[in-house]
Amino acid sequence: MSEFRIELRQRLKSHVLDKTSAEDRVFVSRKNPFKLGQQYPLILIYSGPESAVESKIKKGIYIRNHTLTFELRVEGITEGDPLNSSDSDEVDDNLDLLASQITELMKSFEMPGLKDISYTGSDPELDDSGETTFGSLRLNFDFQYIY
Amino acid sequence: MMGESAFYRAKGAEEETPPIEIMGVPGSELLELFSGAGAPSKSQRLILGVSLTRLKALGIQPKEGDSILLRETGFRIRDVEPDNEGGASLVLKKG
Repeated sequence: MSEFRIELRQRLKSHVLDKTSAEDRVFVSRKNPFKLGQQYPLILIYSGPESAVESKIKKGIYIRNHTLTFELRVEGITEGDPLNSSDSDEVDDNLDLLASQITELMKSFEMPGLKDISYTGSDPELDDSGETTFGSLRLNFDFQYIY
Repeated sequence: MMGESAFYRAKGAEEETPPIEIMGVPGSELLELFSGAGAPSKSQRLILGVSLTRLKALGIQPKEGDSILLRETGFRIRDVEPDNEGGASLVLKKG
């Protein structure tokens, strides 16, 4: 099943690559921190917990629910005269735009062995401690497959 | 105080009012954001060290929301951290 999850993440990356406002900034690694000056928005794809229930029809076969997160990150940029700029960072709007693009793309995602996809919720986070405002939105999906 | 030239404008000041030139010492501290499950992002906390006495002589009492133009980049003051020795760190936010 680990091979299934590896392939799932790679296929999801290919599925959203260059089709959202994050363009080609789609990453499946969760180890390496992004450098200062990294371009945003970007998308991180990583696996969460998985539950499994043994099939009643065939012993040793499990119906698995794998939670996978699309973490969307944006950086707030204020435009206009810097000494007369407004206080309206567009972090929330940009996150929601990206979220709607991902949600729409998930409707057309297919993969051999995949039975169902369900959206299970989101978790927003804002960080205003640095020179710019950063926003993160974690979109969680459950992927059901049999293995 | 040695440092760099910057331009100060109080929040709510008229657009036509020319900004006031001040001197300050810029500094930065690297931050790691969203270090939960995914790979963290990096940002920096920018500060401008200033003499409150000198600013007062220019008629400036720095406060949150005031604007500073430094190295041709516009910032807003997010926080003022006095050092109790007549100086302060102005915590800057871009925009």
